Amino acid sequence: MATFVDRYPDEAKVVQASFAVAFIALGIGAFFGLIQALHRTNILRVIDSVDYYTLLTAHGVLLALVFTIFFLVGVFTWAIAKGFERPLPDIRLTWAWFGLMTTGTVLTAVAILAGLVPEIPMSADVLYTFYAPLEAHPAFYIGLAMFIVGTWMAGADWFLAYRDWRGDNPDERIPLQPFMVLTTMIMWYVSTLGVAVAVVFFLIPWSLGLIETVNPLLTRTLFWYFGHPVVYFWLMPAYLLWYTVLPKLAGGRLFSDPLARVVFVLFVLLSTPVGIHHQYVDPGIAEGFKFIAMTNTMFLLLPSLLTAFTVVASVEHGARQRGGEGYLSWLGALPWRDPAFAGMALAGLMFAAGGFSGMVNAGMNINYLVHNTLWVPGHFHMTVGTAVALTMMAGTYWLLPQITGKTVYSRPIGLFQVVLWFIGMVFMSNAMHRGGLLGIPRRTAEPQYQNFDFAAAVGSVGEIRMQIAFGGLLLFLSVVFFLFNVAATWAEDRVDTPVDDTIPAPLSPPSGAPLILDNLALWTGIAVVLVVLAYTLPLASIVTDSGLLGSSPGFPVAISLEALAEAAASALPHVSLDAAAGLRPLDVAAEAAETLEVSR
Amino acid sequence: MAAEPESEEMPTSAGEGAGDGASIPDTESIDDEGYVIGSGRAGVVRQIDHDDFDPIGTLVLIAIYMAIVGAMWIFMYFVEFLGGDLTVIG
Amino acid sequence: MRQLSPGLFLVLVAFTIPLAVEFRTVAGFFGFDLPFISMILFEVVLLAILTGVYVLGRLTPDEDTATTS
Ligand code: HEM
Ligand SMILES: [Cu+2]
Repeated sequence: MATFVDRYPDEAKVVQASFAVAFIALGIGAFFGLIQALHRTNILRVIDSVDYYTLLTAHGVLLALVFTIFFLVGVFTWAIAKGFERPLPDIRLTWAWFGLMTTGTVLTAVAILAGLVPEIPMSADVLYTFYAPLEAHPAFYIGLAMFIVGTWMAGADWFLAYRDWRGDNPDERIPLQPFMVLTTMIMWYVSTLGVAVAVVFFLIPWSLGLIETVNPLLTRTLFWYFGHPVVYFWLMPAYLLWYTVLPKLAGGRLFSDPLARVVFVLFVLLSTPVGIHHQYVDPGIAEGFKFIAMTNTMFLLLPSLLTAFTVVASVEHGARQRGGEGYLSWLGALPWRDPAFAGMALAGLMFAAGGFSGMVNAGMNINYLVHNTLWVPGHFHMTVGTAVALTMMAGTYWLLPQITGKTVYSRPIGLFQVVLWFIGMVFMSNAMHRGGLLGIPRRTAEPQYQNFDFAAAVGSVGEIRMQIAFGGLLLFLSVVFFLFNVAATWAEDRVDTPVDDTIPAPLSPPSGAPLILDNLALWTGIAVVLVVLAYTLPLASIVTDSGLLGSSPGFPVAISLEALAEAAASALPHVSLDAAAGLRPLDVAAEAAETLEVSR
Repeated sequence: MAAEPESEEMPTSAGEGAGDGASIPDTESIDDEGYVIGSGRAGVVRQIDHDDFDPIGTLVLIAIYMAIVGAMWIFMYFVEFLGGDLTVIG
Repeated sequence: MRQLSPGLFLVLVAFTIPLAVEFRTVAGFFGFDLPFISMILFEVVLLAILTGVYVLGRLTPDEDTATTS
């Protein structure tokens, strides 16, 4: 029985290469994660606190952008060839986007890591959100731009494959997996436009010194225009695996093909016009716009609930076919010993928990409780850090045999590894959430302010620190086991049938889905209209407020204390008496700021 | 979906025990040793199609989820809006 | 007794951890301030119960649930 690598040897090489880059990024990123977890809890400090931000930037970029997206392009390439049952149109194009993405990644990674070596005049400690006024070396932005253009080319590659397939099959429904790939890429094209504009028109010229200043709120808003859809970009390969692979691993069949299509279409429509929900505390954006973003966000609960239902029902179908009975005891009939199944199921469970904290983040009023606290990393280590990352690791145990023709080196190590990740994340993420409720900030190497006691009702800050450090250690070990297992699998000899790679037909077939669901142009059009509606006014008001290029120089800048003192001194006489008495404090601040502005 | 239109019929391609009816596979053969990743369908003891499948277990799980969300919402209402005693953040 | 596979056992072990970690919070709602060590003790108790179930299931498997993974 031939598997993917026998049928599509050229495509299999690209998938292998993409996975290899993803896993290297995972290894380095997880190592930095461990250092951070130990450093900020003051358990073990091997780096200088100043370098913390270099590592944090590398951790965010390597894991949230490189690992996830390289794995994504690998899975999507697999899904396109397998789904359309044909090789990609031109393998040179495929290698071209892979090469561009990889070159961009290397450039960006070098720019970040050079920050650790004082001799190299290069740094990019701007964190993976890279908006102004933090400024990086141009190589960082140029690398990112190459990376994104590479993903665009990958999308073009897959759409060309679609065109070829459509030519031969004019009346057929788009197979489900390619449908998921294509809709995800439409969302990606719509949303990366924002970050591309920010990087190409503002950040690159600014870092090269071609323009002096930028409007930080504008680049922030453009970043978050992309910053929410990117979370669905991470999530969609995981959803693809949950919808099409997990039911099979569980011994069942997908409950409903039409429902799966509806969910992906909803994500195309709703992913982008919500980005402002990351800016609830940004001054300069009117409350009304934030409220609209919140409302749209709540609509996004719909596809998430549909997914919960469809995926769980499909898994239950497997359990029942395997002899499961009862209201809950069917859960015991699932193939828990299978690391691919168990990993994805645990990932899904953790995603459900991440949904709880996500609802808190999404609510404008309660967001203020947790904004920029450690709660937020607690939340996204459950979502992207587990729902996505653990699904990808678990999926690897089923995909790697198909793209290499080799059986997985050790099933027990695999099972142990995915369970260890779950346990580690329970410790780390739970403690981060708690720490955030106490007000411990995120993104800081020195979270222990002297003269401030974080009051804990249950337990203590010390315990929270221990749990973060312990959880981080378990997570790192889990990655080590994973990488070992993968490397050992790669080193084995090829066999005839490394894995059962069939995917059974859905219970409710695609023929039941309304034809309009396959009308990709229509959904693209509606998505664009929704984006225009949600973003025109906020962007217009940001630009009219402080101009396209704004007035913010880059940070970090070398501040001379003398100039600062001078500015303060010259600002002092402007403080009028009644203001000093507290009657018009705002005006004082504004006046003082003006003087500062002038004297700089 | 992507593969195997013929598996609509659900042949026994997935392995032993996936036949028609309630043939219970030999326990030992699917026990710990020699389990291959991805062969969850080898443990299938009966075929259930769309009309016979009633996802009651899914309903139970989602009800549990909703109950937790509801309880936490009420809890938060106390913490945030009534400023009462019940609190985790002191 | 129901027979658990090693895989299911391992997954159940994982599930005990959030229970143990948050067990003190629940106690806190009812006014009991338990020390850190109680979390570890609670975890040990859960593990002991689970191990008991596992071992019993292996020694005296039920006929009809013997096919579970
Ligand atoms: C070995 C496993 C991991 C450990 C120990 C770990 C630990 C940490 C820690 C301690 C922080 C810093 C919190 C702060 O100072 O604000 C952090 C931030 C972050 N982590 Fe992880 N993490 C791990 C895996 C992951 C994975 C798999 C992803 C995503 C796929 C991820 C994405 C991020 C992101 C995006 C940030 C935020 C960076 C920023 O604030 O700019 N982490 N992680
Ligand atoms: Cu978001």
